[in-house]
Amino acid sequence: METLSRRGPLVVVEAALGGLAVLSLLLALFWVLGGNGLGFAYGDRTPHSFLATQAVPTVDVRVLGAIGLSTAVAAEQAMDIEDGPNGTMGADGSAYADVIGNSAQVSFWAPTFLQRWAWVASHAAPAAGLALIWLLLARIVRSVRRGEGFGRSTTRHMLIVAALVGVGVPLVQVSQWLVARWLLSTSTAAGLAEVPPVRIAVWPVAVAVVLVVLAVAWQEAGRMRRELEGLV
Amino acid sequence: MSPADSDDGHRIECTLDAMLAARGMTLTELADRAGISIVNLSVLKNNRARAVRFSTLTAVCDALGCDVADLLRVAAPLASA
Repeated sequence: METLSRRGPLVVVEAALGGLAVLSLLLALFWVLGGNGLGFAYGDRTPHSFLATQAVPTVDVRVLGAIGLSTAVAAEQAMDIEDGPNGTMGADGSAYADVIGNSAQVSFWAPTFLQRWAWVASHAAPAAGLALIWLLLARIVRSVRRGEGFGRSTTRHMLIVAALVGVGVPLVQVSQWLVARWLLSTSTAAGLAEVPPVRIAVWPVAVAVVLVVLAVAWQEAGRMRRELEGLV
Repeated sequence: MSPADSDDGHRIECTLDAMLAARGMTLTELADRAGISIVNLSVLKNNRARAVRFSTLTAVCDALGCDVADLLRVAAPLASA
């Protein structure tokens, strides 16, 4: 086994990546330990609580029908608006603003055991996936320190990261959306609100394509390097 | 590893060992004279080289005062089973 290079920057990078992997894993663990998992910590009801201390699963929804529009209608009625020679504006001369939308948040206070853990799993998965990505990157740096940067394992690790990003991110988005719909459909809010359509981001696929291209180029570079081994 | 056992399909053998012994020269001295790293010379000496640059051959032959044919030869093939 070749000895590890002790060059400063690579050691620091590998250590930093390892630290990030541990932090991400802890973040995933917090979802399991938090209010919706094993219940060791409770927090507020907002859907985007830090460290997953949500008291209960909470999702963004669109309230249907006249109920959904009622806030916007009431807000419009509350604003003192008038049409004048300079267009629509407030009676006090302030700039016209329009209240639109029927967004709201719904908290589910009695999810079933399966629903609760489906919620935890779909929200812990991103952090767990990120931990794996940091770990794979740390392994790549370690291979470089070992003088095996162009080895086959590096290409394999890059392809795994590409898959985690390109497939994993959209998969998580869809799973979180499906779990939210499941929670809503079995609650008292069913029929009154809907979960907005899932929006699959394009950037993970683009990043994955970039990584695959780099992995292929890396693999070819490794092959060329192996051909030059033993050249004096 | 002898060249006859090489996986690269060649039987080229380097006689650097014998050349150095005949001249009472060490590998380090040759490295200094030829301007080639000890690592590369060691690879050459132990028949682990898969390719040799012409510039390396020139430098080593100049330092040893010999010809390429004195440095490299084709080993006899292994008798087939």
